[in-house]
Amino acid sequence: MKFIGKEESGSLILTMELQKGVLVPCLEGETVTAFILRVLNLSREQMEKEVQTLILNNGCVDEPEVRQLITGDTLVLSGAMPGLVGAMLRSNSPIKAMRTTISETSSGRDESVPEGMIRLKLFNTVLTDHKRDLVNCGFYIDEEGR
Amino acid sequence: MDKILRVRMSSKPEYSVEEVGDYAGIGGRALTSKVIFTEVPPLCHPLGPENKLVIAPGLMSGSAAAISGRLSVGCKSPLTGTIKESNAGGQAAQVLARIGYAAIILEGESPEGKLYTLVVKKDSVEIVPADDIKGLNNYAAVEKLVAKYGDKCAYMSIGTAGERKMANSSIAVTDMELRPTRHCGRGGVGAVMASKGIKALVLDDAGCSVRKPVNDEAFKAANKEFIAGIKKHAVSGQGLPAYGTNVLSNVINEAGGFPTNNFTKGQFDKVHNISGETQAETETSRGGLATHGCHRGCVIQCSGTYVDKEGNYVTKQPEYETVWAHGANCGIDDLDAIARMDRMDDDFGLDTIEMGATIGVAMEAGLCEFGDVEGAIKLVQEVGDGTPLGRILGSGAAVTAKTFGIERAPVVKGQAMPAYDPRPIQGIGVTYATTPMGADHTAGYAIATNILKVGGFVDPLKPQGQIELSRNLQIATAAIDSTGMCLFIAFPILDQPETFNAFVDLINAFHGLSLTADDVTALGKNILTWEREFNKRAGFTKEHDRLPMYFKRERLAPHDAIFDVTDEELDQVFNW
Repeated sequence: MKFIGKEESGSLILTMELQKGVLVPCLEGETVTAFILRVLNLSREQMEKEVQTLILNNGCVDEPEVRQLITGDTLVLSGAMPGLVGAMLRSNSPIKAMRTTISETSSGRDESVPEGMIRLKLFNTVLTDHKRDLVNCGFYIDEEGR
Repeated sequence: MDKILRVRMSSKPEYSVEEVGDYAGIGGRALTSKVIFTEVPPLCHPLGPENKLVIAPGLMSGSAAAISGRLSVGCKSPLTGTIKESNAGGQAAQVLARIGYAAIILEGESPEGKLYTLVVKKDSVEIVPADDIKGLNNYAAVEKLVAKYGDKCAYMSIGTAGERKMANSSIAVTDMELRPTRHCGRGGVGAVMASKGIKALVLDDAGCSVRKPVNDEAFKAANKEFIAGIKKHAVSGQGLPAYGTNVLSNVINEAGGFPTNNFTKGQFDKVHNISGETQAETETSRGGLATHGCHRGCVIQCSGTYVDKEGNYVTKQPEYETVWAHGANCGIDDLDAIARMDRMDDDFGLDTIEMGATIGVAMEAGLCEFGDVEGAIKLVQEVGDGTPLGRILGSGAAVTAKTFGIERAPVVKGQAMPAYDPRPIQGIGVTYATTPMGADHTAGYAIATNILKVGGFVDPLKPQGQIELSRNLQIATAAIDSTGMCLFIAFPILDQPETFNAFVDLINAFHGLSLTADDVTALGKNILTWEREFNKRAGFTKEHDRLPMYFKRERLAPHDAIFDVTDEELDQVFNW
């Protein structure tokens, strides 16, 4: 693993790595909401406005305040998405009945992730707006290209 | 917009200008579908003289209302055999509406091989031989037309795919830069235009002014509020302008609904190489544009300009559907190759969704390997060259699958599915199966259902069936498709009640109406009723409202999902 911190400045490299997923420590028993507030340095109101699409292990998260993170989880954070399906994928979407198959975490966790870490992916405006926040917080990437 | 131009094609083409009559008060999809329902024999051959091609701007097109430049084209489709409404952005809707036409209706047929250019101006109509542009693809044809008629007009044209009457041929509409990049893509409308003997339309609004609202002050106030609502919303004001529709690739892939290698997988492991985020960064780093409008008056600006490594223009920013169709669906992770195929599609006049889906089928048939960039480009070129193989591919995914003995043809009513696998995302499968248009993601796109209260309020706190949601979405979408407004207005309308109110006020102030939600519901239901009744008379039954059987049998990772909405449930979608 390679640590990426404040000194990293390559924009395109960061854009690609954050889409592929980087390794970030999570606290024991930490909920999705608590993780987001801590890592992205957001208030609850900002989170509700800016991070409207939450996907955990390929399933949509509708209860981020309850859902706890575990080693090996893959968490995706994104702004609101366009399109009918984009609208469906929003956390607590009014049309979430149209995606019941993916409303629960249904895939296995990434067993290659070290203890105490999750894989985090940032998309859309969350990537643009919070790339530097995450760099300031620090994260790890797989040394060999995945 | 108080008149209709009827053009009767024959060995002696002629035209007449008539009052809108029974078609008064409707526009866009409502108008095209009502004309086809009323005037076209449902059992006619789509390329025969009995079919008609209707070109209609929306109710708000040509006005100062923001984002009102969608153009609808309707006919009986040669791809599906159903009624068809195919729409596009670009400049044509605004210009045609300002000239004063609610619709142009092309009738009859031209003697084989004879092609014309239809020139429509404020006070004149000309039908002139198109010998100068016959056999040219869209970019070259438009370049010649601009040289002849000037840079103030809007142009519509067909490429060689249309001239060859391929079932996957589109009608191109020029954008602000006079490039043929906006397409009425779905359903083979280009072939119908060719069958009428029309190669191109020149729309010249010299001497015309912007359409005036009945209540000017109220209109201005509503438009201001409407624009502010669009700009402040996270989707229409931030995500779409920054990344375009391709911002969806990553998240749909993450949800396991990104069809890959001809719908055999739900995730593409190289998606980050073709995502909207990477595409935007690639464009801006090369000197292209990641934020650009497809017509004047657009305040969302979800398009862009894709340039090569030397900064030379290649094509407009490929849409999500295009990036998926030519990318993940074919196992290709090369943005430059995808942009090149997008340019070829626009030039030959092809629907990118159908073309990409067709190549996916061809790859499964062994014509080349998944991920083979040059092989994919060669297949598109075959279509452009009109070779025997190209003519098969140009007939769409269903015909290609049948030709090569492939079961896995991702189509409904002969039309290829767009970029969302219906197994993990079953709600969109309901819309694919039941829309009168054949598989179409935009048929149930208008997510304003809660605020419109179309067909009943959907309580966000209670689970409600995807059947009811699909029904409501299809009704709302049909209504919005009639206004000429871009469907992306649905996002601020969904989330911001004041923006929805501004939208209704805008329409009412412009036309001097007092529309209610019930009126919107009634319009949407009327449109769907006309369309379904046409299809019924054309021989379509409820058994056609189904997904291919393999979607019920082949499980898709990572959710191990099959499409398990029952036939009985599907049959309830239009039971209102």
